[in-house]
Amino acid sequence: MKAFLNLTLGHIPTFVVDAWFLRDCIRHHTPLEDEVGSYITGPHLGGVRVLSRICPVDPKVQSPVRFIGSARSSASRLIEMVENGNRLHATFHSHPGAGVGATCPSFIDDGYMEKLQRRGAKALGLICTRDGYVRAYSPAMPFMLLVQGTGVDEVEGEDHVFKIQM
Amino acid sequence: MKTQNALTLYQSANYQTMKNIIIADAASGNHTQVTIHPGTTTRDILHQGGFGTDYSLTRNREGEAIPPDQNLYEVIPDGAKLWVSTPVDFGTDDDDAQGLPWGHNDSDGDSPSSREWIRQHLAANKSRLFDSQSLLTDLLPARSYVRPKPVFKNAESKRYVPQVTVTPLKPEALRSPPQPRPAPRVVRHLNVAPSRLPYWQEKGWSCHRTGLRAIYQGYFQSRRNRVKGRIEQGVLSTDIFLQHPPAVLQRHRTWGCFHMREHDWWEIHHHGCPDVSSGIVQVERTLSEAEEMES
Repeated sequence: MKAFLNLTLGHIPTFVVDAWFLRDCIRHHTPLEDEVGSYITGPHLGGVRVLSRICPVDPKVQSPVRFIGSARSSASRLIEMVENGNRLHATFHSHPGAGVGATCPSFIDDGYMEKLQRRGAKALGLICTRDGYVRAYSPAMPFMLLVQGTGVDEVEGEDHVFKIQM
Repeated sequence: MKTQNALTLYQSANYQTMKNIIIADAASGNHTQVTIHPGTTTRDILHQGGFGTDYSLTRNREGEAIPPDQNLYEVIPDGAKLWVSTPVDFGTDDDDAQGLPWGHNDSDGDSPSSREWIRQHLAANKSRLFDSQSLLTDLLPARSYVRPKPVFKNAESKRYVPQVTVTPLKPEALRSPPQPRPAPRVVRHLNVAPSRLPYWQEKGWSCHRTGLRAIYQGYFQSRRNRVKGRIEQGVLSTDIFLQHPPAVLQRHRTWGCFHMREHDWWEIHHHGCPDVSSGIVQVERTLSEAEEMES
């Protein structure tokens, strides 16, 4: 365990999340049929980032296939994080549909995350469906994601996709 | 002697033409030190800083985004900190939604078209999805390679088992004084000059040339006053004039640098050879200071 932590602290951004929090995130992001998006933050210890807090962003455009946050709300949430000594760890949003396939990032999803990562943000993207699938993706940064807790299964044949028991 | 002191004062007070500000990226926390010239707008900083058109500058958490055409040099004090951010953007264009797996509401995600789309998408973006194990194998020395999965995963049930290690807190750690938060690290420096029109042109001044001399005409504009102005730029000197100066200027500390010429035109004495835009900015700043002193 110690060797493993030593390994992760300096080399690859490592994200830690518990299944309970993922379950909360899914419920928060799937109240209706429209997509919902938010920022995720939490403590960071060296290269290890703990996902523990949802920072919701007010929508400017919202539909079942689109979520654009308002510029003011997005800026306000990010500044609030920095002012509290935190950093952006992840973005989280929901997709319509169900199953593993519905968690694939669109080109807009990829483009937005890549833009953040190219400018130095060590954050990953998370996409969920209302039936409990969660995918982590990162267009421009290698990462490790550790999920802790009960009621979660890794989906066979997929990278960074988990099925959360709701 | 008195005039000399006044000139020096005018020069030092009004001809420091650049400001240094900090631009903080709200998503990454990275800070950029930016030097801005008179006339620099929000758009100039975003463009020359390599930010996309969807980025915006904000003063603080509660503030609205600063308009792209805002002349930042006028409204931002030296040493100010601004935030740069881009709004959250997820989803897909409506036209593309038909081809995506969630465009047709399959309940189990196993429909052939969904599978096919996923297979194609993953094949096209193979390098974008990272496998922790292969990364460890490829990037790290063999002797330091540790398989991550057994740490968190019970291999038999394929269910994640909670495993928490708590280290005891040393008593002396509780007594140590709180450490001050380290200052944000400035990761780069940027010198931003206006990339569009020069300030004199932006403010509607006109220019015509007579021999080696260029004569600029327009108005010095402050919050409460609009004063007719003229700047004559030669090879070795730049002469600044304004007509009918408002009474508030007479109470400004640099009033000694104003000398009356014919038809109530007043010439402003100064040292050096400032460019026209800087001259306009400094006279407008003097006007604004005089108005603030009066109020």
